Amino acid sequence: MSDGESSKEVEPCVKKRRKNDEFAQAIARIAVGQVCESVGFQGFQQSALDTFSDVACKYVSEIGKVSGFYAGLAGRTECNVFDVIQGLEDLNLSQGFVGASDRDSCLSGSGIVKDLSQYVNLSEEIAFAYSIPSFPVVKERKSTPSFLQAGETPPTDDIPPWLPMFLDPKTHTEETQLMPEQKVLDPPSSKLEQLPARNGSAFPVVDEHVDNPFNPFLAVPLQPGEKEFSVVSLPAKLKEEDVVQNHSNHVSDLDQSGPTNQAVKKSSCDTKVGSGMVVLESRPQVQMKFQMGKKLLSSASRPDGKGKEKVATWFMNDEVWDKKEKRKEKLPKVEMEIDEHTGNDSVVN
Amino acid sequence: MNHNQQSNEVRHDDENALSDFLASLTDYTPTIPDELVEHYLAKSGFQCPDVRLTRLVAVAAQKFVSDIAIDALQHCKARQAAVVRDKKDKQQKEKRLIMSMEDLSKALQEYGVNVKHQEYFADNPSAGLESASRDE
Repeated sequence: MSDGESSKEVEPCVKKRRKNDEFAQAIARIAVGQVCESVGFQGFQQSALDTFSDVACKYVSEIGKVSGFYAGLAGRTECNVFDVIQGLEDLNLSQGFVGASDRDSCLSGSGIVKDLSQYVNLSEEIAFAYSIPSFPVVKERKSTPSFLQAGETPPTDDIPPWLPMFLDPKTHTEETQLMPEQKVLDPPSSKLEQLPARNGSAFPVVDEHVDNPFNPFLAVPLQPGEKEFSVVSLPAKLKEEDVVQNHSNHVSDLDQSGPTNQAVKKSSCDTKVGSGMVVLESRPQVQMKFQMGKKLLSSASRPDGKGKEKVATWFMNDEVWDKKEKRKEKLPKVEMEIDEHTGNDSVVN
Repeated sequence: MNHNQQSNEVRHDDENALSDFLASLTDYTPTIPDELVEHYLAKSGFQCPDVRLTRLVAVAAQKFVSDIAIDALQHCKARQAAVVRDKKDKQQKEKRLIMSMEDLSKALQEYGVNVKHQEYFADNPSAGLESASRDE
């Protein structure tokens, strides 16, 4: 069986789906693996094990659903053994069991029960590898006591005493330092102390002008020019054409701000922020050509001159270039990727 | 009258068998743990305080899994036997039995579960197509 680390490699999209159920899925994987091992398998493909455990979980859910349906059909909320047997019969009808075609047979004599008892008698009992606590763990929430429970009278007459108490005013009027995890905000006192008394709400009010250093989302928005940032270098074509258009203003601004922001190294860009023109000359241009269908959708930006020449030949000799040759070049690349993919399907031991 | 008595006896036997089976479940610990089964049953709205029923569902699920596993194992062995015949290499027989997606999908197909694994992944819609279909 695999160690825990290798079995956690799941694609990001699948990970999101399983986020709430990861623990149960992991246990299912182990259980299914143990059953398969007892049958005779010595190893599994990761994807096969994942799929299989998923199917097993869905089977259990399906039994629950169908049994619940039969219980509801009989006017009960709690299922009994006959609901479960009927559910199993429904699910295994495609496979077939002894007595499936009988109309009037009693459920206790169902072929399913006989198959199961036979299975229990003949198969070895394999315990699950780990001991599991009961899950999901329900966290106990401390609810605010009502006025009656606390033995206090509500401040005004129109508040009934069975409602929960107001929070301690100190919790939302004092200027406390915020932790990043806290969702409730503590604004400064003075004018806000009047608000809870006035409208009776226990919710703290946020003061937007407070520049709280701990919560970046509440900080005052930056004025333009306040913070230094790296300059975006425009490609040459845009600069030439934009003398008349609106972009000219932005371009000139960038040029002016370029020399002033010489000490900026915000991102990991390796181009010098001296003046816009210098940047453009040292970097090779991005050549993008969009074409329909099979023609190349390439955006090559290579540091050396060789790359530029190769890209240039692709676009210059389009008609001359033999399509088959192009495809031949691509095909080995695709095949390689396929091999890599199947190779990556790691074998789980 | 006799027929009724006979059918009553048969029913009695069946009920005995069922109650015996349920009693035996308390001794038998299925490989699929109870907590997991309870979690998924609770998710789908199955309410039952009786632990024997949970065990019954667990045993049923275990039987389901083992049936599919046996089918997949047979597919795997059949493929290995075919390979051996082609290559006449005795070393092939010592290869370990590994559950692959193909065997699993074939086994699941018989149970009505369609699991189709991607044969290949392409980076654009025209990858791998024949040249005739590519002409526009």
